[in-house]
Amino acid sequence: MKKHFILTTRTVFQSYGVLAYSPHPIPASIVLLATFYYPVVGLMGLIGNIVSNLVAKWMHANDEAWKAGIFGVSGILVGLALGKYADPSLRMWIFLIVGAGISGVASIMLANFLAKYDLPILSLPFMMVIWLLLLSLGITEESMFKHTAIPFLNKADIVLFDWLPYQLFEYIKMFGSILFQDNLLSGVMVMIAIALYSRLSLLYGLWGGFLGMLTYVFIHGSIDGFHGLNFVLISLGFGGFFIVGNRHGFSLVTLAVITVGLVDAGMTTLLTPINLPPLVFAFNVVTILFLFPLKMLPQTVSPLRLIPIPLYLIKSPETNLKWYKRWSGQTTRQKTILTVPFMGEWSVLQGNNGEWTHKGVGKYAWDFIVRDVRGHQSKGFGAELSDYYAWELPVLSPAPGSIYSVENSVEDNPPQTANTERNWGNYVIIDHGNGEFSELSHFKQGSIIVYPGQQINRGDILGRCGNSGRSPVPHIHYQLQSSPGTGASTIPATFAEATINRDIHIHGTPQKGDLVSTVTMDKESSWSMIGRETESWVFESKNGWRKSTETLTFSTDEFGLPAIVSRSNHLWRIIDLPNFIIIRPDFKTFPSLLTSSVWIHIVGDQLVQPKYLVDGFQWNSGKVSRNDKEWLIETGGRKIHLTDDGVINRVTMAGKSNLHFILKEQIVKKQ
Amino acid sequence: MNEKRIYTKPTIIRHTVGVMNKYGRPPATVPMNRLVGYEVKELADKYGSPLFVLNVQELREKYRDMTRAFKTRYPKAQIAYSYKTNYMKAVCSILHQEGAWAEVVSGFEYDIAKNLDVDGDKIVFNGPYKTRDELMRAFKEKSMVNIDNYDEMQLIEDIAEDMNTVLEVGIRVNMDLNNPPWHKFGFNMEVGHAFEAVKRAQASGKLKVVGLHIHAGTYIDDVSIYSKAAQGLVDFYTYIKAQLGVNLKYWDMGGGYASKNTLNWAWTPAEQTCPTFDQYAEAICPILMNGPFAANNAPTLFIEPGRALVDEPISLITSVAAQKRLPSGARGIVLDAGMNVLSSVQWYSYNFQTGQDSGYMVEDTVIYGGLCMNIDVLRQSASVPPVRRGDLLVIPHVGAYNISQSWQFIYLRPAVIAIDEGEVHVIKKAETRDYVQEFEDVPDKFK
Repeated sequence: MKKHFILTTRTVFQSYGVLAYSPHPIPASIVLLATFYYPVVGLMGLIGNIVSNLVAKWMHANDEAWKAGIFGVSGILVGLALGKYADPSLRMWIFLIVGAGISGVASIMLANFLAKYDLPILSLPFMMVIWLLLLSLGITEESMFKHTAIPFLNKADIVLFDWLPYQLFEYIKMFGSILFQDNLLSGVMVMIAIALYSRLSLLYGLWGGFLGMLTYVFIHGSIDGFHGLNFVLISLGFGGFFIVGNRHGFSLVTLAVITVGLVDAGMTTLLTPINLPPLVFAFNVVTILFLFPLKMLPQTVSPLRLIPIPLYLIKSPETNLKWYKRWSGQTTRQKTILTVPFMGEWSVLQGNNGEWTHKGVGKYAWDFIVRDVRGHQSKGFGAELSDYYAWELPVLSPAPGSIYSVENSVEDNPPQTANTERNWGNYVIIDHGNGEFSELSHFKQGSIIVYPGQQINRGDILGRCGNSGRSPVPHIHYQLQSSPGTGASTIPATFAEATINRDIHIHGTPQKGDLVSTVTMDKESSWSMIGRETESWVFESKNGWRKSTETLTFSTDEFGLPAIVSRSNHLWRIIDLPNFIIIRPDFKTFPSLLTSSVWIHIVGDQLVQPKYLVDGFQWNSGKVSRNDKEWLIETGGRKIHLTDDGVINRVTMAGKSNLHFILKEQIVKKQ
Repeated sequence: MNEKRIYTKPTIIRHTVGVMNKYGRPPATVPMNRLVGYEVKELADKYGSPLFVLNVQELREKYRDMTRAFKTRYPKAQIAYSYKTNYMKAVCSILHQEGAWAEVVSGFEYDIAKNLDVDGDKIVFNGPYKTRDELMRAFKEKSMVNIDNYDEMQLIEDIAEDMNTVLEVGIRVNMDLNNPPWHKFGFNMEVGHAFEAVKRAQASGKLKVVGLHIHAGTYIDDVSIYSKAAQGLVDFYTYIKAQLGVNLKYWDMGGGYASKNTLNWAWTPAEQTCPTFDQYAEAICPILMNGPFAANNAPTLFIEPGRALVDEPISLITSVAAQKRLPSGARGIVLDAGMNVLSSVQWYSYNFQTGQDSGYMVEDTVIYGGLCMNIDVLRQSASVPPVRRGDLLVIPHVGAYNISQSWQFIYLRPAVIAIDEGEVHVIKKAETRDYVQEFEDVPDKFK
């Protein structure tokens, strides 16, 4: 009981934070205080909040979402708005409780409906309830009740009103208006709360508010009757919260604020005859209007750089920006997952931005050679091509694709000479089918065994290392490029699971002089996360006190590649590398906060696991160890415990002791 | 009989020294005064003669060189060091440090590996004779076991039944590769025995064939033999995959890689004929890559070198015990080391180099070992410069087989030292009489 009380209290606080886009207890408390300028109104908000949250809980709202506080937001607003418009009679208190209850129900309904599109419920439930109440109870702007403010605060407000320029007073007051407060102090407190959570948010809010005032003046001709809550809300929402706050996001804020101005003016004209205030209607409609198409766009091909953030990943604008940088580094720039185009250990003779030929558009390229234990690249003096260790070694396809073009007829140069007329010598260009192409050059004359149009897999032999073209010593030139011609513009690339100077990197960019090789595991184990024999796993997950069951089913994605399907048909792509498996949420069908699960926390933006279990095996972001009973994979703050057979048994996360994920049942594929 | 002999004009024959002629190496007149940075004389004085000297760095480089050659040509290649060539603890340990697995052919060798803390699943267990207990232990410790014959298969089926599980095994196969062919190990592929063996193992329900092992022979300096063996494995795997649905986890090309020691019957010195690791790898890997599998899902390739790794890094320091003139007029010298520590003289024409400055006038010399046995001849004819009693001779490239096959006979066995980064470590002390007689007893009755 006590635990429930604490949790509910936390959620109630959290709801105040969400109201000002600052879901953290400290800003939330400041927002709470700001509503108590008129104590009775503040109390009504609080009661609305509690009722709404309890109703949502009672209706088994999604636990994650409930704890995030989104179901209380509308309850608070119902309380504050009723307080603003109606007298605090017993009748009103009853209607408050009923209204807050309805807003709890409406929140759940909308949340489940919008989850499909990964859209937030915003304050839509509040709009439904407050219009219902205002219309049915016949409350109008004229009947607005004058509450008593806390006396000395009121006095301060009056003094400041006289002292400050009118526009500035309105400007600051605007921030308080998101709580339906009409005073300066609430505005200041809200600003402080926002600033505590995110400076970036405050800047966006200030900019949006300023722009909103201009828009208002531009539409109405004067500042009279200005109410800026929609402007503040929309600029906070698009200011790095729902979408990534890069410069494209900034442009969108500007556009959205102007749109809000128009919608609000229009709605005011439309609703005034029936005595309804438009309140935050404009904010809600414009947010959905702008967010919906962005969520539907395929992320990886979006020509715009407007990136909506999956709801379940939303944190402060600053954190969101970091997430985006990490994520974009992995998926948007380089789509092809590359492995090194050779066997064994090679050495980088010239890396990216190399001093000889990797310059300009060709700067993201590598030249690889082989060195012996003493660091020499050839036996003896290297007078013959066959003295060079790299000579005639197999050159592999770094990723699946189809062969776009092949040149196989250029003669090999004697050592230390170069053919500058046919720069690329014998080459293979691979089309990876995603707008990216691999170019591999300087093959031995006549050694290429693939032909244009041929489909190839990762690791297939293309030909043999040679010394054709601009190549003084036998080497492999590799580059990922954005068009199929030779010497096309290169794309910054990383090699997956490359061993660089004996350290395994999941995404590695080798530099000049580095020793690079593929990962070869010493021992084979029967374990494979892909679970060719497993159909699905049933886990018991616990997050705090709430237990639930999660089923992960192995399936395939639209390309027929392995994938995991979790709750609500959310897709998790499995990137099957030779020695590692990377599990990534599919950003197109990403799971929302409302259907979130412990599994989402476990995967994060990517979960890297070695396929084979070897005690002491390490890579740059994780390691495998073995104790008496079980295997343990530690990666990115997660501890994955596995049985002897390599089945995930239990998952724990650093700093989250109340979260667990325990295997209940393994369903084996029917043969 | 008083006939006058025909006069022949005296001539001066030019002795050429230090130049390689068409057929041979330069005479051994370039003294080998130093070994791995140490004066040979200093080592002999301090640790005694004869003395085996291991160059640790050279051993490591051999391993790395071979690994590079195979790993740049095949996606998953692993060296399993053939213990029998030299199972001294220090030698094995150094190779395990480098990442080698152990290839053992008896319970005794298996025990050596385990004693060196090699994990069971990094041991390849071959050999034609394995006892039930040894096999049981190997399976429990998840070693790779390659079956040599039907009796062994029967035994392993019993073990599988006892352990109540299906055991993963490899099958040893052979084919005509050399003359005479090596048919001793495993089942022959040409006459269909190998197919029958795989079929029988798969049908038993107790075994699962996951590996193939072929051993092409020993000291093979013709790389085309490996190509033939590799092609044999590829064809056989393709066939059993199609017929029996076998999916290999590994295939093992066995050992037999040569070192730079000239064979007794060879015309050309080994410096010219011994293939490089790259040549071996080039003969094997591209053919195996044609096997019935996807490039990223190749079975692990095992190679089991022994001689090729340890032969060259170890030298033997001996000293001259006596000189004599034989009735034929040839010079003979007697060394303090004989066949008891150099059993490979049956195969090799070792090189003998002086361990100190000497004259340049080489002479064909018969080199005798120190055993009081007529057969103890180390070389019938070697070019050796003038030496005196007490002078040192260095015999390079003696690391394989000699130490593991050495006998305690007439003399005690010598010490073995390892030189690494300028430091000398005694990795085996010279034997003592007490050690040799440790297990002997004279019952009181006989006293």
